[in-house]
Amino acid sequence: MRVPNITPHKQEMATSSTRYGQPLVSVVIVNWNRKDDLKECLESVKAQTYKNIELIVVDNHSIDGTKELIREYFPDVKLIVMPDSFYGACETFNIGFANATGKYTVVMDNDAMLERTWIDKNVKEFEIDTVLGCIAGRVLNFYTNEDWGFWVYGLTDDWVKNEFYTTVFVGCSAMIRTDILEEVGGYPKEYFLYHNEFALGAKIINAGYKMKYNPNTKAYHKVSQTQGHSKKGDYYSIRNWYWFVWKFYPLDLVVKHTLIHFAKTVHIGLRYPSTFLKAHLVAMSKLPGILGNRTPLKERELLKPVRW
Amino acid sequence: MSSQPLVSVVIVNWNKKDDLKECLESVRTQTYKNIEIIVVDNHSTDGSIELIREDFPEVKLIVMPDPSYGACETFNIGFANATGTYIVVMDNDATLEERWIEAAITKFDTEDAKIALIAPKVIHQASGKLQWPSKRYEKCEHYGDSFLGCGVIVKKFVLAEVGGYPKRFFIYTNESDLAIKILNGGYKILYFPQITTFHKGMQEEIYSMSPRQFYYSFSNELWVTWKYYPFKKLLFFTLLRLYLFTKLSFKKRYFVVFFKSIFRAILGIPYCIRERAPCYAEELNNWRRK
Repeated sequence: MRVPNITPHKQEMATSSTRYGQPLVSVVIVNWNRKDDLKECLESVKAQTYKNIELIVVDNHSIDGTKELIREYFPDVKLIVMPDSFYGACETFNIGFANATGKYTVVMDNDAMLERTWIDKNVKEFEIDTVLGCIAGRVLNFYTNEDWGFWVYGLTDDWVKNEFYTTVFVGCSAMIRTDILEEVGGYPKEYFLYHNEFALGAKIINAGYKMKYNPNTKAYHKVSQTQGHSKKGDYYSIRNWYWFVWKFYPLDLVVKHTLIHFAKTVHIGLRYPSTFLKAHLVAMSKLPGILGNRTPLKERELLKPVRW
Repeated sequence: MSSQPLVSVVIVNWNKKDDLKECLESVRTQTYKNIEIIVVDNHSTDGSIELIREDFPEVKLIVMPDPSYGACETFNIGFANATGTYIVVMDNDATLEERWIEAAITKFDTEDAKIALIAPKVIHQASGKLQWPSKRYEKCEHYGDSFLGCGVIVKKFVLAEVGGYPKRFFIYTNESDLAIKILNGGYKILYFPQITTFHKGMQEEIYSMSPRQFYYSFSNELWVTWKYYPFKKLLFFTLLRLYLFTKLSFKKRYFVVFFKSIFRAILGIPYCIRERAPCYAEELNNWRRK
């Protein structure tokens, strides 16, 4: 394991922004036409017991009054408005990350809410563990209170209550050290959206840092109860999963997981043949490039059976 | 002060810390006071970001995650974040005279409400040579069909209405495109010689092109022709541009760039057809006013 090196400049910046004896934490939220959810999300950040927080909202050119809401009710939020709505979540998150000045960055979805001690508890974890790059907490379905992390960590129940090291996090709420984010370069822009967390997680592990699942912090995610599959969503999730597996899985697992993924998504192909075909064609068009610079994860034991 | 409308100054920067500092100081010392400054930084690594955070805390800074963004896109991001009634579009290597904004706002107030953009005289800082417009038109106020984007002032609502710079252009000739969109919207562009922007620019002569500038300008100018020129003028101006750039490519020996640029232009034909909006404003005849 490589000892993370913090450049003197970064260290200085971190201390200069320390207030109340607390390092600055940047919360980055991306929003697109979900004003009411965003309001609750921002309120949950405002209510944190931790006080040294910088809020950054990247708005993907919403037309529902989000801008006005933020300028009026949350004037201390640093708002970045995109000129049109064609930007993917990866790109807008990266813009948010680039503007974060805190020592730690909280990645958050606009339909998530944090419990009051979330940031406080996670900062404490970071302060005692210097090789920690990312912490993902427990995520509960806002409506049903069910654990929502199963799709990342598998179906078994033992992960819910225990602390463990992992390679993946649920993107709706996680805390990452800002200098590492800059070092590894944030989300992969070409993913647009979906499965970008997996790629970022793998990059963090590959850079020599650890990622921890912290069962003591809870976030609530407004999982849509009527969540259907959209064609677009299917397209991105099929395509990006291939890209992730090809780039980050050890060679023997690449073939296995490619086949598993194909088998699992065949039912989508039966429903939306053109989406399915396009996803595979586009995925394969990038195959030579990806195989050329593979960065497989070394720590196999951390690869949990990922399910989506 | 409260009667003054808010003016947003949008500056795009990429690794030109010292120029940026002079630029920001010239904005800070304006006689007009109700100003908001927005700097979009294309991921500079020369300390520009630290300079702004330390010495210019009043600036709203937006940092891009990597330097792959073009000038058009970063300017559009700046425009989207501007909250003022007017937007000053500025290059990081330009400076404004002290009463620049004040004079421009007064001009807007006293002139035709259809004027959406005021383009000042642009002078190369080191040599004192005129960069905009051409000598012939230097002294007289007139309505134009383009401007030099290193320091102009535009009404925010017009920008929102016609859209900002064309993202696909990446850089260069984007001003022409925006200018014609403004004309198409029924607005006017006024050249106002009473105020001056000082530009460091790359060279004294703005048309003495680097290969990169040649590559983008050539295809972008063709795109502007194809997007906006009525069919009557389209062929003539296409041929004229081909002739001028071919001549230039022989003079400068830019043969590879020439073909790359032609190729780029051809790939953009569907884009031009999709976005085609012929412009019948009379200012357009007055091509480049040479």
